[in-house]
Amino acid sequence: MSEDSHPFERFLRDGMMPHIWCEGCGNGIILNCFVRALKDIEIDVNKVVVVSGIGCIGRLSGYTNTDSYHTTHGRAIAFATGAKLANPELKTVVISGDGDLFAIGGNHFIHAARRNVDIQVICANNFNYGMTGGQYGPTTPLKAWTTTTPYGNIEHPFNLVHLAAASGAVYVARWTTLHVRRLTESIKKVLQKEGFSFIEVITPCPEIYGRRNKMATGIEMMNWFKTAAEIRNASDPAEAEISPEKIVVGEFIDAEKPTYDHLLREMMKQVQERIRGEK
Amino acid sequence: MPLRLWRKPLDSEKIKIPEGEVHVLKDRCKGCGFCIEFCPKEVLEQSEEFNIKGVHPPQVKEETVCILCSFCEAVCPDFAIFSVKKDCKGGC
Amino acid sequence: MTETPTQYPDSEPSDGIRIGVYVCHCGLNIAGSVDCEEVAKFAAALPHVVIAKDNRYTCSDQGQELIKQDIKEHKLNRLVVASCSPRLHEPTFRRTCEEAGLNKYLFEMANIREHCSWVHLHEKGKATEKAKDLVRMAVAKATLLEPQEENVVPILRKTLVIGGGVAGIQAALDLADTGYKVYLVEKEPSIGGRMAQIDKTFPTMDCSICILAPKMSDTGRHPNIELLTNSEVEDVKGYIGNFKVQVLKKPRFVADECTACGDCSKECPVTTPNEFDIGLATRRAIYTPFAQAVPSTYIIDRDLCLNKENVITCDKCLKACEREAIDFEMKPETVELEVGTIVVATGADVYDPASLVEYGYKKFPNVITSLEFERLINAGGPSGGHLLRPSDMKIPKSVAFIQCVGSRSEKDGHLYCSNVCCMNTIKDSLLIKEHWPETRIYVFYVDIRAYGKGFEDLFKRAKKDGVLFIRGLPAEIIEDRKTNNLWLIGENTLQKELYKINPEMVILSIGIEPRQDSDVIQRLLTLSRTSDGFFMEAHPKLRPVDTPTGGVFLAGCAESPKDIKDSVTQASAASARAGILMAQGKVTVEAITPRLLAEKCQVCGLCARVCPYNAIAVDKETKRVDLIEAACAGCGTCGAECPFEALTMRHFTDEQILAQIEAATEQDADKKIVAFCCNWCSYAGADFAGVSRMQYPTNVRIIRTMCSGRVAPKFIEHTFARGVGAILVSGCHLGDCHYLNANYQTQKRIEKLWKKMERLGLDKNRLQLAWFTAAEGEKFASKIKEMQSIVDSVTLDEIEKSKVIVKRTAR
Repeated sequence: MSEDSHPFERFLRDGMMPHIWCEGCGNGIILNCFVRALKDIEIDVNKVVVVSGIGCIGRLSGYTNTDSYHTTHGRAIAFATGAKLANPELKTVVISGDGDLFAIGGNHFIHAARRNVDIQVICANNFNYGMTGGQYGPTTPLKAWTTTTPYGNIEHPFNLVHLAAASGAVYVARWTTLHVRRLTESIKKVLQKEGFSFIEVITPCPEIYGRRNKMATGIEMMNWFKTAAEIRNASDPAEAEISPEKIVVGEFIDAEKPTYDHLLREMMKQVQERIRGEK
Repeated sequence: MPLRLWRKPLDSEKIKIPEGEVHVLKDRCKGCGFCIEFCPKEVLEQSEEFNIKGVHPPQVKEETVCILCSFCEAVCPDFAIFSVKKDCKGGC
Repeated sequence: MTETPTQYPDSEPSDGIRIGVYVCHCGLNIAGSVDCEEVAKFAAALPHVVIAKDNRYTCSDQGQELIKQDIKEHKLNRLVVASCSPRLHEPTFRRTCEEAGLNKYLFEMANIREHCSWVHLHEKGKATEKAKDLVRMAVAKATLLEPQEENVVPILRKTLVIGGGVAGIQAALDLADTGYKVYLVEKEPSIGGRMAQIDKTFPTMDCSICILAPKMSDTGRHPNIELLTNSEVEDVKGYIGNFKVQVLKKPRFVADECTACGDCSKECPVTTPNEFDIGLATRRAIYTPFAQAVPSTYIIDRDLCLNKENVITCDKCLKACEREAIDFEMKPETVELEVGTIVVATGADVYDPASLVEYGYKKFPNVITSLEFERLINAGGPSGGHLLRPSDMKIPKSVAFIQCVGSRSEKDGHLYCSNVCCMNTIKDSLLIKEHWPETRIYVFYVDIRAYGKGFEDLFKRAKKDGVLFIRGLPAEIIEDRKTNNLWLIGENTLQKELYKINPEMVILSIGIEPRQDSDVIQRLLTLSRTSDGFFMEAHPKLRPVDTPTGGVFLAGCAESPKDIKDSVTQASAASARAGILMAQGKVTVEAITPRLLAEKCQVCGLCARVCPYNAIAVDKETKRVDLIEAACAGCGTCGAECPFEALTMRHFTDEQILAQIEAATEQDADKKIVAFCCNWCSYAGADFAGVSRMQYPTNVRIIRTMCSGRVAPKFIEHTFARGVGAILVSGCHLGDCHYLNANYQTQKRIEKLWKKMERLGLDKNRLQLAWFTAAEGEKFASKIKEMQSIVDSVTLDEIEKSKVIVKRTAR
């Protein structure tokens, strides 16, 4: 099978393949679903901006053949907000990790959601800080083993979809990297939607997290997703638990609300007209 | 229905299911095994050969079984496998 | 016409019980062998009897007027008529009472005709003595009768039809057109049932689906019909007029937006043999059962679909559907329906001839069943209407039909005749002749049953067209391996010679069987089955679509094998019967149901366990016992079972029965037989013996209860304590009890009593248990004769001994 080229070659930056992600890492699947979504909706890739933070998933912006920002730890959303306000015609997508978005970047997240800034956030949740060796983070499950919780984690993790919904996001969904078709559909939906959208993707980190928690290979982690996943569309995100027995996935919220920049530009227009009127 | 269905249907020859052809970009493969594990028709198996990274990339076990669902293409983290419609020219 | 006054006198009037007794001559029917005047004089002397008369025809208008006048004039508050069987005229005289202002439950009859004058034609003296005894018993009971009010149960004007075949469709349409709301529950994804699979119907050779499809779409569109397909009935609670039904709606995974365009099916990579075409054609994992399916929405067979366990690996149908109607997340839904009546039209299955090894079905490809034939010859079927041999897809030049496969057989299949196969074969042979006139057709039969309208004509046509009818089923089918032709070997019983016929194809006319999964429906609705496995109707002649359970009706092949015309007829009948209940909006319950004496009840739950209708709800935690009157049929088994005497069976109370026992055994008890007979079978059997004028000894005294289950052990003990010669307890045959299974309790109790009698050293032959049908008058008469010899052989010593022992050990 010579000189075959993968159908998605044109969405991947030249010379960057193969990527640095481990064998069995789910980040590659997120990248796969993302470019598939770009291809399916036939969007002009020149109008897409990918912003990522620090972490393994942070390398993603370097692999997509789009204009990309690889930003400082936790500030991806801040950058994305700026980019969007400067050029509202660009579809600004933030793809980052659980630690980056919700630990150091937590404050940016909740306020961007509150303001309904028109950015699409995809969070690769692998339950730890993978790139730096496997420390525990805000989404590490209770009692899990990481390098900084050698006797088991004593902290309760965030329910990310609950947090996003409570902060006011207009689209909230959770999928795993096994549910590639539904994940692609969700990404397609948010790329064509206005408002702060959040997709949590449960992704396997076998080398760093899985290995220390009795799931040493990507296949074992993906099989956990298979047996534990329960699809509950339109259910209450507050009850969307993640446990060894059950991972509740689905599209929880899909609503409409005026976006931050829409309201901003409207206000600007009104004020300018008032000033003109007074002159 | 109590009559267990045991006959070969009369139109079984006429039904044509499109077949898929699986292409593997061997040197990209990191050997995660997702394509082999989750293929619904069990088309793939691990090959004996080594690629440039020292892992065993997948190979097609059974040519005619692939139905072109393209799940392998969708779930591969490394863009190392994809499927196309087999060009039959009356021969499949 | 006299108006019915609404005031009823008190049960304990200030001037005491005032009974009027009327002894009927019935022309010479009674007067011929009973001295009615003497009986009337005797009656006048009984306690509480105010007036006693004898007249020629008490049931006539004049007779009734006389009674009504007397009631007013003499202020009678109880009435006894000694004449024919209460099964005949109890309703007549009850109406007389009501017209005279007397509660109809204050009336009692003594049967001195069927049980006395007619069976003792030549013993006037003894017959008269017996008549006196019977009147004494009736007066004793009448003294204790109380006025009763009948309860009225409201009926919801909604129906549930279980099963969407032609019977279910017809019943649903009839009821919906009448104006009632109908829920039609069908297990398969589409309605239509067997009729949708058939090609042409006999005798008119109409195209089956062409006449069914308009009905199907009417059903789908009707504003009063709610169609629940791909659904099953899971639970039924309640009683006539108020059923609560739980239905499980299984998910289709395709939403109603589906336009049945079929684009998804073309893309689906999974193929499997198609159930509708009996495996002769393929379908995909996403499919519609047949082209005219109602509803037309497609359905995904998740067992075959590649998308398992929530992961969508193959998304071809999703991509192909322009209406985005496919939803893999659909979940099963349970709905609760409240209905007043239920029509059971669950249909039938067909016999699988694979067990008949000699016919080679499944071994020889060219041996097919009649159902497979229907699909092959159907223009919309797997072979486009060409009758093809499965082995080489060629049209056969000769075919043979074998009748009665799986029917009318003691060893293979079933004993009954499946009704439709003869005409089906005749129709099939005409169809073959129509398309391929040169085909040689043999029909191997035992009898040709062409009983219906137009059937004989069709049979004649087939014979005229050259179809050969040979009387004698083949013993064996052998295949010619090279050609896949078949050899049929058997005896032509009319010519008395062996035959060896070589057709290219054989069609087995398979029989109709009861549905295997109808056990669930049977249990939920407390239905019974007849010996052939189909559901039992309330009465085979007079109530052919009712079931013994009130408010539940039968239609179609669920009741017995039948053709389309009879299924439709029965369906319309069932909807009319259901309509009667719902039109009235209420039903009155006969006042023979129990009442609970809460202060005596220990909440032991024994009553609930023996009730055949689940009409008693016992909650041991809250110590509540609820009598669900509308579900109760009044058999009395609960009353007989209760160890604490906490249940009073109205109109058949313990006291009333004991009073009858005492009256019967007042004189010469040692020479008498006291017989407890159930209203439906054994009492009717005794009546039949009378109607047939069968003669038997005069010493039997019959006490009527609604069911033999009413007979409590203490009645029998009391009767023995009174010094009776012998006792007979009789009821319906086991399995045929009018109250489903109450007579099994009778059997248990009698067996226990026999053991007790043996232990106490009593002759257990003096207690007899017998089962009669209403037609077994002869058997009843011989039983009494048999018991006469037992009474003759019992010594006075034995009787005295038993009196003492029983009195000592009785509860």
